[in-house]
Amino acid sequence: MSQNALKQSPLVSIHQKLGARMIKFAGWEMPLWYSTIAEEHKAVRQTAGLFDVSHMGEIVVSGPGALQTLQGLTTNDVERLKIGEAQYTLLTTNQGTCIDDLIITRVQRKKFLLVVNAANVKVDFERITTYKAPETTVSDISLNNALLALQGPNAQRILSRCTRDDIAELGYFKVLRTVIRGSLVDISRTGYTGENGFEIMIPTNNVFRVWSELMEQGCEEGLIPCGLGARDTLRLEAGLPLFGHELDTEHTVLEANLGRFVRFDKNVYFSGKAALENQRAKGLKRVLVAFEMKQRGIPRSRYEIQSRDDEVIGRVTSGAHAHTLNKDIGMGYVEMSHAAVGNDIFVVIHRKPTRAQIVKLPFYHRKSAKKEGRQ
Amino acid sequence: MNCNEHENHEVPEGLYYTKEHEWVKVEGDTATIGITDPAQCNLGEILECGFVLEVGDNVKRSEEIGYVEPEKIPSDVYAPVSGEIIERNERLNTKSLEENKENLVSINEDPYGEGWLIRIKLSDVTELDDLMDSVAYKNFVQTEGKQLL
Repeated sequence: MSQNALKQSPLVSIHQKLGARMIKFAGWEMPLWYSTIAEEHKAVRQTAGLFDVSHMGEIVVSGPGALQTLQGLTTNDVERLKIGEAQYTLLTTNQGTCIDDLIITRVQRKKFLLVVNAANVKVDFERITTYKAPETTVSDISLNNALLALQGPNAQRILSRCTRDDIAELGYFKVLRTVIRGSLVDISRTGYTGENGFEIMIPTNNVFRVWSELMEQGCEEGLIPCGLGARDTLRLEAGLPLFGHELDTEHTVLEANLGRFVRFDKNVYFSGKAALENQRAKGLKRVLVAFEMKQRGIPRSRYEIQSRDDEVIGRVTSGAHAHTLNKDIGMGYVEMSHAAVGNDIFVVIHRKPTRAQIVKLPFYHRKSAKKEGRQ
Repeated sequence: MNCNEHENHEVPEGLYYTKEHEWVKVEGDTATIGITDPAQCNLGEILECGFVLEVGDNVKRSEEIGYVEPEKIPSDVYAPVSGEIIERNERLNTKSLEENKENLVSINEDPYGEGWLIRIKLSDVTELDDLMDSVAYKNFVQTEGKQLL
């Protein structure tokens, strides 16, 4: 059996130079942290952080059949997208469970760019290719493209120093093509941290100089490089799901609390529509909840959740120490009868049922945090 | 500190080491135990620390004596030798005490000193023969290679 070598980001020499602690993730070797997760997490909330997310996949779907292809395979309404606009959506199975979560951008009228999870590039590509409408071309351009995420209250100011275009004018989930240090880049006002920020797509050959330009211009704004560790604690605080944790082919998009991204009213049948309508009518048996620990302990993925009467009622999908809130938080699937906000649940940590309370998402919201002076 | 640069890790002579990355300091029939510098570097910032055994309990080697909770993956700590638990470093016990959280920095910054976790009264000195010395442990860490999570 052959061993697949780990893929490396085009920025690997920078990560090594910075002494990053590396991690295996979805077949890639990526930075987990450079200094500490706590420091990087706080930087994103207070100043800015730069993430190398080049491991993520990019697929282009184009041609006269592209819209129909994507409408039939995803839950959100692709037709609503104007050129230069993006949306969050899900690729679903016929049972309405999650194959992947992704962002679709309408690049031209008949050309769409999909940014997908690193672990699912092959699966997504195969599904789209297998079920595409006639006159549709599907290309995996992942290796040609690098992706950086610049996130935090100072992100816009930093990015404005790097381009001649007016970044302030760029709306939420909109894309702008511009130039940074001589390289064409596509910038979207999107992110995965709960802060204002941008994702920047760059041809692989140019990512080094774009990274350098951002770090140089960001230096006096408190910009530091941040790894996947902080990316995970930040998105968890913001209540955002992660494929392989909250999202998988075992749970439906409704159970994952993503009903607002399911457009039952779009005029096209999409994978899983009937199953989801059925589930919506009958009611959910289990649902994703958010919780805060009330006794000491850090919840982790796959830990059992019990009721007060020692019944197993669910399982943790993600958990961590939240550095902004200074609490231990998590998400998990729980039987509907136990899923009310305010309910006590017990997470089994080191063999001990440890008390937690179900709360409303998000754990952290930047607007309310700003008001309370807590950021 | 770059965890991939094994040469920079502290692995003091005169201590015993285990494959689970614990160190053992023997003074008479008392063994003091903690986690090694390569281990703490790999794990990252320790956020919680707890013991599963009490003072006075007897422990067989390889039994779990406690755990540390770093950012990403909790790590159990095992008894490298058998004996009786005679002391726990309560300064680092965050199981029930909020205040001890600042003390946990000892595990990362002083793993062989203030970062000690537990003391055992040895019941079988010959068990030490099965442990590694600093040279063997340094080799072990090197050959385990770039230990990615």
